[in-house]
Amino acid sequence: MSLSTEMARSIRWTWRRHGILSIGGVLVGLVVLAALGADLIAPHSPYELDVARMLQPPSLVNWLGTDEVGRDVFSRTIYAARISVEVALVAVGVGLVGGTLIGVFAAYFGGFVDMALMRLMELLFSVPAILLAVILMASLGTNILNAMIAIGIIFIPGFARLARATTMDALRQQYIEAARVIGMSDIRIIFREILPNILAPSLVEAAVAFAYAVLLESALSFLGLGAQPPEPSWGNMINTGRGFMAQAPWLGIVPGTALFLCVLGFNLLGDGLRDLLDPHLRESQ
Amino acid sequence: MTVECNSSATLEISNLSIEFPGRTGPRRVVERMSLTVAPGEIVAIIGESGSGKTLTALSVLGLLPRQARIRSGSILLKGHPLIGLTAQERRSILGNRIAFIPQDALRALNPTLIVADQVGEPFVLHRGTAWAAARCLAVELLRSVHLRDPEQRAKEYPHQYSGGMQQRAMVAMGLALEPELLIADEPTTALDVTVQAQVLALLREVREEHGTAILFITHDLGLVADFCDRVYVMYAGRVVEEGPVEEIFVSPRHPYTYALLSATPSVGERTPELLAIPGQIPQPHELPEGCAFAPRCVRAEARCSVDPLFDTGGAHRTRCWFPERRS
Repeated sequence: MSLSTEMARSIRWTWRRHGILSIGGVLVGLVVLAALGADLIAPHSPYELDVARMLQPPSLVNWLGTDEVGRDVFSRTIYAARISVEVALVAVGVGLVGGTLIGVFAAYFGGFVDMALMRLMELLFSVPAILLAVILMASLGTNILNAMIAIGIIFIPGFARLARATTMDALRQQYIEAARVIGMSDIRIIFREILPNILAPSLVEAAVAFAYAVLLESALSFLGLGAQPPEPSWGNMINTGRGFMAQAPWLGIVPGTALFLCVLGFNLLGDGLRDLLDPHLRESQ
Repeated sequence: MTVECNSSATLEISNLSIEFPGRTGPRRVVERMSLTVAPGEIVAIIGESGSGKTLTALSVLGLLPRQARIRSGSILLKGHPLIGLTAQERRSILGNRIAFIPQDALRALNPTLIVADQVGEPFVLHRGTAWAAARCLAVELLRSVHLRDPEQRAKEYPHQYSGGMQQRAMVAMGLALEPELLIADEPTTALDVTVQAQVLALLREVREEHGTAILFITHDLGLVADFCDRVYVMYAGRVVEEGPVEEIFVSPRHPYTYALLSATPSVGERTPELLAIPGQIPQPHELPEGCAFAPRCVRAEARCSVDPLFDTGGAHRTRCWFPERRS
């Protein structure tokens, strides 16, 4: 068998097995690359005004045109990825850590602790996410840090419920009993025995939450509650583009497409990871 | 708190009663259980599922289910009471002076940690040993339970071990701090017969080397005959017969023990069909008045409706109105 057919076969095999995961991975990779290397990739400054060249259509100089004050849309879209990834990272971090700890403690200690914590979570859950974010932003003040915290708080109940369910399952395992029998304290059991064993599903959830966080950040910025101008964000760029849809459609379409691909990428990555970590799916393939 | 120190037994349980709350009032699942294990002795508790043998073991470890209540009795470890300890006092005893070997070693090992980190953990917990040193001690322990190539194996995860190796690792972990008492809850039921023999040989070796007292919980009569010094037969939460293994196997006195022994097929004797004890073990809320075994007993009569007391037969005692006498 020649080398090329062997390679083709192995690519086909990988594709069939990890297709979704690889598309997601590539899209997420592009977003992360844009976020990390914005300074190197972007051909222009995202802030530099050039009133003489405003609302220019895509050209060789401005690959994806310019906006209403002559800033390069391509550069701004790339810099916006940085904000989105930052916000999503912090927000998902807040949700993952806070939610997982709440869920694990609720399940582990049970009784009143469980009831109080989970009722609080349900209270948070019952408020629509975007409304909750707006309320939190209104009380915390509108800046990007508060947007991160607000989005993070929205994620806490989901992670808490997931962690509570997986912890309940872990608590039935004998290794928890074995840990008690060698004299481990509750805190040590939680951090050493339970957390490592329940982390996989929470991490998959985190990848999906990441997509949602990017979307929420854009929504908040669209409403003027997230990134503040002149800071570029896909949300506030789309908001600006809305007014120029007829004259300069690229203003809205470019950040919109970037947002779409980013969210799609994180969703596919989450689905792919779930399949990869689910032993039932793994064996049937 | 009074501390009795006149006892030579490693473990002494006396008059222990355990209850669960039920709809029609508390359900007594262990009734006035008394048991002693001397240093270096291997004592079996034998009984069907639901006879209270596991609950007895859990009460020694202080790991009874939340709803369970100890109604009366005392549990002494070398004369020191184990009931009513604070969580911290209990933690300082568990893994240190009492070790537990569970039924299913694979499920008792944390799948996300390498074996060395689990076997070495008691040193870190109770002696404040540094992790690096604890891992070296773990390798030595694994060597002492005859695990081949312990340096390499210590770095592996539990699922890379075979069933026998996992149980050896659990034994190693239990023995880390040379406890005075080892409680083994059916430690060999999940293993092949040959591996089972190896693990039992290992436990016996431990007893010989360290004088560890072993409380062995099982439903396997064959194991008890081979492996244990004394046996307690439990039925519906009560001890119905106790005594040295040889005596109980040769001349069982309680009809239940007798029935258990006849229900066990043995090689050589051809029985046309397997004997079973008619009926089943009563639930704690439907216990009959008097002797709990009476409804299933072939010899039951009127006076069995009064609970029999233990006879005063020295080491071999039974709780029955008609101590069986086999010719």
